[in-house]
Amino acid sequence: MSGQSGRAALWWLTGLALIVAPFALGTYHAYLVNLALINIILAIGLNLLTGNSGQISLCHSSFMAIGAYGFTLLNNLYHWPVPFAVVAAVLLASIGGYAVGYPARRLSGIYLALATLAFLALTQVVIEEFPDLTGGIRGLKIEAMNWFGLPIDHKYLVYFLLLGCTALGVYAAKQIMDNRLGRAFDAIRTSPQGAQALGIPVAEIKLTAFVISAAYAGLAGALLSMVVGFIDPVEFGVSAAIRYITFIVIGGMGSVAGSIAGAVALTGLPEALRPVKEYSDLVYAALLLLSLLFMPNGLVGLASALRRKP
Amino acid sequence: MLSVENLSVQFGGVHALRDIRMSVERGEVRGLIGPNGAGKTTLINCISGAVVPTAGSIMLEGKGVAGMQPHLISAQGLSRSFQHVQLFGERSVRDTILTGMHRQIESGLFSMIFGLPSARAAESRARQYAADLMQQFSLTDYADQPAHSLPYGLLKRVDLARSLAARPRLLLLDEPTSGMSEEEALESITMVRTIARESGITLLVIEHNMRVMMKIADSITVLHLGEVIAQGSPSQVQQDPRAIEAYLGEESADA
Repeated sequence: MSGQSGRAALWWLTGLALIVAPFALGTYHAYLVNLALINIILAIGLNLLTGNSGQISLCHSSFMAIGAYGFTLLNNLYHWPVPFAVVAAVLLASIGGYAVGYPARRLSGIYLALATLAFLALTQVVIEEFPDLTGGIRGLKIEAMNWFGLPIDHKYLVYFLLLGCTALGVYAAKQIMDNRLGRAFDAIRTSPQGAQALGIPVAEIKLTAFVISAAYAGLAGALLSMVVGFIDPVEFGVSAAIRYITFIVIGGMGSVAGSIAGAVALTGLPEALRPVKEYSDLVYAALLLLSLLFMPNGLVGLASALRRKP
Repeated sequence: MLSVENLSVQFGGVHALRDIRMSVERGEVRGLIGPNGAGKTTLINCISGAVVPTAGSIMLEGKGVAGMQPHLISAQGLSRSFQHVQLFGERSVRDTILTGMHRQIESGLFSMIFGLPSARAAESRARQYAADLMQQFSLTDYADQPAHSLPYGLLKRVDLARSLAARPRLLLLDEPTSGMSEEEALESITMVRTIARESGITLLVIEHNMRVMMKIADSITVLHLGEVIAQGSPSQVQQDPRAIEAYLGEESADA
């Protein structure tokens, strides 16, 4: 089988497996698949920002929080139909991305890391200080969702919405990387002066990257609240933000396939480590360190190195 | 087309450029020569906006551009190549050339993200033009290779193709043929000149190889220690005693 048709077959098989997954898997494993899909969406968005446009973000869990709380409040208080509430949540997160990206245009490296960390602290405070609206640190439960009264188990509706959103997320990222926007992302990361001399408005492209990336995170947040049924500020803290960065570092920076590989691997890893339960944190950390040492270009880099060798 | 008046650049106490006056006509091919450290690259960097001049004015088609941001100057119809070729990550030769067309590809954010027909059409027009340029510069065979994997001489050709991709009205070339053999150099620079003549592009070229320069330039400006010491047609400059003393003599002594 040639590489081309082999790859196409793999895509079809994966697609088919994902379609039957919710019917074939038990509750827990279906839940893991849901989480993996959410993490894929988030990782793709983060990778466009960090891997391609070269800007670090320690506040992607905040954009997720905006999406999650935005969706949940529109659902609980106004009973908006799910698709509309999701779109609104994505728009709200994009506005958050604009708010962070605007000052970030002139920052980079450690300063950008600190600025995004400050935004994360700010969103945490806002969530905790308005308990009447957000439930504060006690969290917020997602009430019955408005699916236009469709007589289908909502579990399946959520799953197929998630699957559709993931497919759209992959498709959009591929489009971006294949047109002038993605080329400009790579250009401003590797040579901002060169990019600007070629007529690329560096500040504007940086901001665009932030807005798009935050939109992905907002979508992931809205979907997470549906899947989990409950949200609290701890879910969207610093440790989550750092875990998301490990997704793209392990998977492969600047690559859509890398985002997918990293998100899937690190969603599944804790599960794979269940047999060594008491040492799982240790093994997780060791695997992270080893992969940084031996796969500097992530899982995707490893795969392409293996493909070249034989 | 381009008029530079009393342009000065100071880095700390060093006068990189002092009181430069220069005016280039539309469609002209102007050479810029001078010994190392004469300020040639600084002058080009001032025109393209990478360096902000300390004093003086730069008019591009009657519009003052001194101190403007590079991408805004670029939008006035300026493009450039680099002394050290600027590459963008793992991008292929094709993508590297397409990056030079960023401003020319007119597609909205929404249609790009969702791959709508309008964005696809704009993209495929750009790809067609990039393919034409790769054909002209004999780069078609390397189109899908990562640009950073090419040898230096080929990279210089990629850089030239990319600087033309923006369809500029004024094109600044900073040592476009360094690292090429004389034969290659003549071939690519003649190619650029032909395209420039056909599309009415004004060229300002820094070039060390005097034989190449004499063949392509309509007129030459000689810089020395940050000042213009001679200006005129290639044959005039070749006979100018100050130009010979500062630069040309040294060159013929080398040869």
